[in-house]
Amino acid sequence: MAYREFQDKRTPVYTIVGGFMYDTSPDLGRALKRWTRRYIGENYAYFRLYETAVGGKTYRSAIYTKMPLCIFQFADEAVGIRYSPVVDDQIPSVSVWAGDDGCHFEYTAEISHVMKSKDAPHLGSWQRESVYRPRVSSLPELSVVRAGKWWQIVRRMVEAELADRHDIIETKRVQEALSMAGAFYDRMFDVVNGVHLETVYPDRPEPYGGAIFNHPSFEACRVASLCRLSNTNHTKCDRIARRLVFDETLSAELHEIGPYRIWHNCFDTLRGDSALYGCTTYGTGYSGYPGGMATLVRKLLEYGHSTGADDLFPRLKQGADWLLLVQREDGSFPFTVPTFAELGNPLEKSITGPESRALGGAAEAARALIWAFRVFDERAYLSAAEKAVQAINPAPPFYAFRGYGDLRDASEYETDASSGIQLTNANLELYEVTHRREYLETATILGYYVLTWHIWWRAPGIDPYGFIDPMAESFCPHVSPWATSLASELYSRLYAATDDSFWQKAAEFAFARAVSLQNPVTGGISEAYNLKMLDEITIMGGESAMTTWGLIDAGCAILNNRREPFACSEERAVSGKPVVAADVQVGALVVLVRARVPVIKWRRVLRRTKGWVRALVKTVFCIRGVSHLRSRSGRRVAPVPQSPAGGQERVLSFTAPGGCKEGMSFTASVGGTTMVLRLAALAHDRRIRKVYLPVLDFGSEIAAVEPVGKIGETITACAVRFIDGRRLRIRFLHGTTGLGVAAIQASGRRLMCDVSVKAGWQYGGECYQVLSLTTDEG
Amino acid sequence: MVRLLVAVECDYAGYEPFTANRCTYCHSESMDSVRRALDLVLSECNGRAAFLIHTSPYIRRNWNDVFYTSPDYLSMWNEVVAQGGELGLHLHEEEPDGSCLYYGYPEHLEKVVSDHVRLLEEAGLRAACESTGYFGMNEWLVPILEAHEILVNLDNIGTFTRFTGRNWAEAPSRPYFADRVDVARKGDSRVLMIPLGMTDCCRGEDGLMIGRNSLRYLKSLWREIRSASSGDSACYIWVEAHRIRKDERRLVSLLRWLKSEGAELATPTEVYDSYAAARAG
Repeated sequence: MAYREFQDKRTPVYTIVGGFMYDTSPDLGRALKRWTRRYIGENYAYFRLYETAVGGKTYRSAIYTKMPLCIFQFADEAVGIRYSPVVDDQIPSVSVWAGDDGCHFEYTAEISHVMKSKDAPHLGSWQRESVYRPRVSSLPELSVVRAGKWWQIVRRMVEAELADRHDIIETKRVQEALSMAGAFYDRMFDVVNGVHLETVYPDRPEPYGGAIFNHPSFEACRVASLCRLSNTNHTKCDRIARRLVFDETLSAELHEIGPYRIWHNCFDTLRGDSALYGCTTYGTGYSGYPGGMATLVRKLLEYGHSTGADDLFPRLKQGADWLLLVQREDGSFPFTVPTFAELGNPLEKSITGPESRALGGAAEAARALIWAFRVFDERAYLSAAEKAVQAINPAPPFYAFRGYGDLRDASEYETDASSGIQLTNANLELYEVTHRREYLETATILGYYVLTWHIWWRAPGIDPYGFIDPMAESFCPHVSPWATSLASELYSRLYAATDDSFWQKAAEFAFARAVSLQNPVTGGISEAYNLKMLDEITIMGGESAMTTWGLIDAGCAILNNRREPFACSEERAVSGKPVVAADVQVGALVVLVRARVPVIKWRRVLRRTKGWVRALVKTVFCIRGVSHLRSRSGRRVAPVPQSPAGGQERVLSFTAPGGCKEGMSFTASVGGTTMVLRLAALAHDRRIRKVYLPVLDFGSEIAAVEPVGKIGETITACAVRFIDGRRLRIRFLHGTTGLGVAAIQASGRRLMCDVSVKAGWQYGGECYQVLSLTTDEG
Repeated sequence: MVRLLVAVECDYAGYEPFTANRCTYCHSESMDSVRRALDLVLSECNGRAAFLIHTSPYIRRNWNDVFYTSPDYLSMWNEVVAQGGELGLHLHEEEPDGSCLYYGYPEHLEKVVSDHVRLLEEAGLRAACESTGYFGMNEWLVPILEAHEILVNLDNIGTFTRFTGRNWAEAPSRPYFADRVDVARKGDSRVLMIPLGMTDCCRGEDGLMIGRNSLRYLKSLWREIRSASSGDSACYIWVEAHRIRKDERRLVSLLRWLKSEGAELATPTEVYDSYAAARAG
């Protein structure tokens, strides 16, 4: 039978369909229609199955389900109906409605949906339109569970799902993931502009397309997260934090109103030069994507507090005061407070004003105010934070989440997961400072709400299981490692606050899922992975720096609960006898595409001559051919003739082909067992294709090279054996190229270490690596 | 029938916070422009026009809010009213260097509106309408305008507005009472949004903006507006005082042609009264 139905004569006070419907309205059919408001996110997908109205009922494709559970919360009990969103390779439909005979949940394969599709996951016109009708002759039975409250049903289901998973992720794996994430930020760091890029290609050196270069609030998240890792370059973080706070192009003081300060939500290069400046797109919000004021203030206060950078505080206080200024009388916060000139992007959310309510934004503002209270010890911040949270906290048992606006691509009043995460965190933080149990109780129940946004179903050929798909409609179906990481961190915090191991297991499970998408070579993760129907899950685009700070925070929270350090346990302390530096010659090799020969002037001259002269010159001298790119050629940075003695430094520079001004320099300095190598090129040198750093010439033939340490696909240590029986161990400690090298090639006496993908040289001028050379006793 | 409102925006050349990141004001030049616009519009429209008076942080800080305090300007505004015209506020609430704007801050807007209503009242004048800088009318302004009985707004130009980021693209092209949640749609507030003269495909700068389009185009557009409207409607034509030297001949020709075509010129209050009566009825 391709039709199943559940009916109950009672009227629910709250209805959930996991991941797309959370409603307190008695008119369930109307509630189901309401979330179908269209916004730009609608076609951030390969396909969309539109809802179908039949006989006054609205049917939605079950592909949009996250937790496959419909829960009716009645006054006396909650009833959960479990269904399968995918049957074989077909997708049935679901509908919820209320009538004179009570409430209904319908699960059917007898409904057709209009389906629009295209070949790319990004915004763009639909290319095809068809009708989708599942070919299912029989649907599985609905299973019904009952409990007192809806969250008990959610918990029971998640417990069953995680029951057979023991020790979900090892400490070492978490530490490795954090190390790789830190190394990814080394790769993404733009030396020229002094900030991280927001997105890079995983395997290509060109700049990632798109106007939004970086978000200051996410940069604040990055420095706050990175400073927790033991192997972080703290000078870099400090410079970024200071730039965010003191760069006058990034924030503005509201002179007309008072000593308030507000920050832009983007760095950009739209003015045509390479220098970054602050600008704002999509309105000025408080949190979420593309980031906002409250997130920036909170994270920089956190950073300043943990590092002792007190001089950041006066300006950040102006930011916290701005949050007090824009808080509404009832404690909530409006959707946006337009404060900067819009550059002309019609995607900006236009609804604002006294009637708009940002739920996720208000939660994030409350978190920033709690941090302001911690740092400045002024009661007004805490009172404002409590007022905000009380205004937006759903009162039990009504958990109707609307009006979030936390994610750019969501409708203004679309239900989402990430705002729920912010709100849960706000409640937890209020519990931490006030010790009032009601905040913890609300946070715990909100935690169950977040659990309903994980995809708890499987399908043949794809594995979205366990990831969060954070929006009810826009953008979905897709999986979001960022939202999954944020949820993991939240569950860890819930575990720390409640000591309930259920949350620990959930945190580790979510983290394990998010980390499974981490690129083993670069350490990066894309922000989204779209479902292409049930055929495959594809990467949205480049690797995002946003996802990575989420991952670091989640990993640190897990390790914190385990009382483990936030770095690889096998912290690569160098042991063994140092190799005599004089025995090894150290160099680098850069392969580049030769520059165009400057024939432009000749062309100008030729243009002014008679036609037959031009033809003759072109024929005889083949001028036209000269302007084309020549084939690739290697240009080796000549090795230092003899490695410098310990503690000394020798500099070698060479001039690029064509006699251009561009140049490169290579330096090597040795101290004890470690060697610091620096290879510098001019910024944005597009000719560079391959980078080998270092190239080691040992003076005797290499018999074999074997990687002996790996994190992901990155080689962190290797053993070298020579024909004469000597053995060496090379450890790649850290550097802009990350944890190590992508590949090692041995040729005669020479060992070449490939760091091309990791160098990311198109953005910055310097590539450095620290390594150790010791004799290998083993 | 489409009633036409002539709206003269009294800004000044040199107000370029976002394009040049600075503002400059030349009193004599601005006085001359406003005088010229006033003479022209009053004579051609028989006094039936709305003059939107500029204020901004720059002019308040550096020029003592000259448009509302200088006897020269105040005498001109008195002249407008004496001849049957009406006045409006024109709020440009942004920093002179374009670093930020203040349209999202209701306390500030309330203060600016009440201060300027009071300044006009002290001069025996009244603001009947409002136009926000860069067409940036938003939901914060609705209760403020209602409280000060300024019940007509002229910001609906039918397109996305740069700098203030308002999206009028889906707003009605006929007068409507603004919604409190989204001013670009019909609602229950008392503020009447009178749109720029436009059609479905000719909005924003392609609408009845005298400085942006040729005379021939404006005439053909007016014909289209008239033929597209069924029943009573109203719209406005946008005139910039500081461009009046360039636009003078075109404006005179257009106004004379419109009169010959039987266009009925109206003031904001007249349009508001008819819509308020229709709503009450």
